Amino acid sequence: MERFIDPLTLARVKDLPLIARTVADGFLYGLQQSHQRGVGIEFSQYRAYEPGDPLGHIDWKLFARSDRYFVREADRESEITIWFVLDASASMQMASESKPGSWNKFEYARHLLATLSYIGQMQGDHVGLLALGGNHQWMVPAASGERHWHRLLKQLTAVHSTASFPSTTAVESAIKRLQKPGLVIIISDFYQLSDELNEFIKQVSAGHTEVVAMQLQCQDELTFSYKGAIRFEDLETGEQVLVSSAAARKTWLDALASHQRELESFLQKSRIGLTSININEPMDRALYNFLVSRQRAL
Amino acid sequence: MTQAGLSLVNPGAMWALLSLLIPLLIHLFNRSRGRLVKIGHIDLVRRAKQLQVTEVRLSQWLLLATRLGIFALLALLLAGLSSSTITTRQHTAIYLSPAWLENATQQDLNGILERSKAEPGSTIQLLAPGFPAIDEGWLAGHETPSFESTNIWPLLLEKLESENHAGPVEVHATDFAGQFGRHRPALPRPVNWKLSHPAKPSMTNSQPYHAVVVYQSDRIAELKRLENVFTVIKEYRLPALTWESVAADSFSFPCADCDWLIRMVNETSDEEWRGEWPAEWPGPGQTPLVVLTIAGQASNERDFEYIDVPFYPWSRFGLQQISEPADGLTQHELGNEWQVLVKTGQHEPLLQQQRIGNTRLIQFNSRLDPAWNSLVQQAEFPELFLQLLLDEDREMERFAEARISVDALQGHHAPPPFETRAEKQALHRWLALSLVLLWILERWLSERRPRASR
Repeated sequence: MERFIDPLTLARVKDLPLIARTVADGFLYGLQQSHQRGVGIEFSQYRAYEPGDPLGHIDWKLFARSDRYFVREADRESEITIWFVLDASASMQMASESKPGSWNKFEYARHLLATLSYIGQMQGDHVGLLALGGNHQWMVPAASGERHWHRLLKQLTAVHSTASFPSTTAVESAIKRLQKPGLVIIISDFYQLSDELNEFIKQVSAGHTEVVAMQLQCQDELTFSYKGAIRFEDLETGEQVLVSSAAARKTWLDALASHQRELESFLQKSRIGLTSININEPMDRALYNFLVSRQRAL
Repeated sequence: MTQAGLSLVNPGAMWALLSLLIPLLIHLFNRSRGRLVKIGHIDLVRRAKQLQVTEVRLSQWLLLATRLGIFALLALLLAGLSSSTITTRQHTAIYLSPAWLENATQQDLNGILERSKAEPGSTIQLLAPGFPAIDEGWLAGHETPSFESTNIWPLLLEKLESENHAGPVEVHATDFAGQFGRHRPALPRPVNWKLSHPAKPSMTNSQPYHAVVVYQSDRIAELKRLENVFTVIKEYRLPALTWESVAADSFSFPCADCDWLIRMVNETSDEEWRGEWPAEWPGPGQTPLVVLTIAGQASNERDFEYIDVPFYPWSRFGLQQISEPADGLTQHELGNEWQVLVKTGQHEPLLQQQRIGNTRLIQFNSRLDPAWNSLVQQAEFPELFLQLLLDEDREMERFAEARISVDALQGHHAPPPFETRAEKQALHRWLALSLVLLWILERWLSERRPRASR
């Protein structure tokens, strides 16, 4: 039986909290509770060393006494603040035509954000929301608790995608809020008219904030499965280009690969991890992969 | 020279061409200028070669043409399109009837052969199955054939229809009507008849028949049609036939030299009709061989129906009106039971007869009027009419050997009532192949074309 939930099935459910809980509980089941070690971390227990554990985690004093390798485990002592930045530009409305009924990027992002914030609030973290699209700015200050999470969801349902991502000058005050220590998760397609998104990321990551980029892509975009004469229209500018799909396929795939390289290069310079998610694949699998990779990175 | 033409086996199936409306309507309702796809970043395709709207339109027109072609080919397949080949001859074509060849002297043959040599390109063919070409070699290698029973009409017709003779056509035949069969065809083009008397003694003259037509003053149009029929019969069947028309008011028995009495009178009562007959009837030497009564009282409109003529294959006509039988002789003390020869779908007698002595009484319960039936307009009507009047086969044989005149053969070149005999070749294989190719092209174009814009 398929372990993950079909995205089309989720797309038919209109209850955002329910989806978030279902997805989160589904993939968290069986996933070990996170245990971390380090400054400000309270001791929890020893366990036997397993191949793959960093050598720095071995308690050498205990080794000297027992002649056996033990790893010192600890529970996290204090919660962190997680800011979710949602790209609410019009380009996020892109969806796969080959998968009728599926979410577009914006819908997917909303559900992804709801699920991640649910996980965050379950861990006792403070979660906050900042959605940016055109002149609109939707913000829910970071706080913890289920009631707060519901307030966040309420705001999230009010968000709609429009125009393009705003320039940094327009969201200066919001950026300052994000520059405090914590985690900022940016969910976007990372398409921009000039470099407004890059500038935003630069400024946010300039402080002591850890930034994680989650890039949403769709199946049609990745494989260019269009046929015939296609009139492409830019969701943000309305510009149209009429091409033969057969002739445009290579150009598209080359341009996409180039764009991806540039994005990765830019993020790498700022030490920002990039997670690319295909919105036509199960969301819980994407989340599972994301969380497992983060756990390894820590 | 060969000319190719196209014909249809089943023209009714061309109604299937209405299906061409399907792709046409689809095209009209779906004139997209490229499927619209909204994307997040136009830069991804900006560097691709852009199409012009005209290119998209051209693709759509090509697709439409292909689909129209597919439906048209389907219609033609259903209609059984076939090609017919007609060979054109520029030079004199000489056709010999078997009877002429059988009776020709060596001098006659030499004359024909020398003429053919003097005119390069001319041909001599025998009007017999296979149309053998006649030359000295053929004459030396073959016994003089006996084709007395051969009917040259259909053979000549086939030749004239399958070969488009640009030059003159000569037909050498004897003047015996027997070789021309019993049916009168209409040739598609004039021919030069060269009739000659055979060396052997000619047959006796045909029986001279005399017809008297008694008509009502309001049925002049029918009388004219009947006279035309007699003219044809005289030309082709009974050269000695004579007839006269007598108004009903001035007609009375006995009917002198009256072989056939044709009555076109509106009966009012049995008594009146009975009163016309001589009291001593049938008396020797006074009674006609046939008394044919053509419809009496006009009747109301009835349902149209087709009637098959049982004694003349493949002949049918439309019947619109029928009168009550002019039953004047049914109650006659000398009369027997009527024998119904032709009846309608509702079992009404249309043609009936009975014999009294040597006389046949025939009643045709319709008129020689196109408003009543289409029989009078059909080419075979004179032959049918003659068959009705001549009841003995020996009479048919007798008139068949009657002599005919060249004048009688000339001038009848109406369009042929028979099916064309040109060689036909069915094109269904080529049509099916074209259909498959068009379908493949349609699929290929369809994959490339835009779908409906959203």
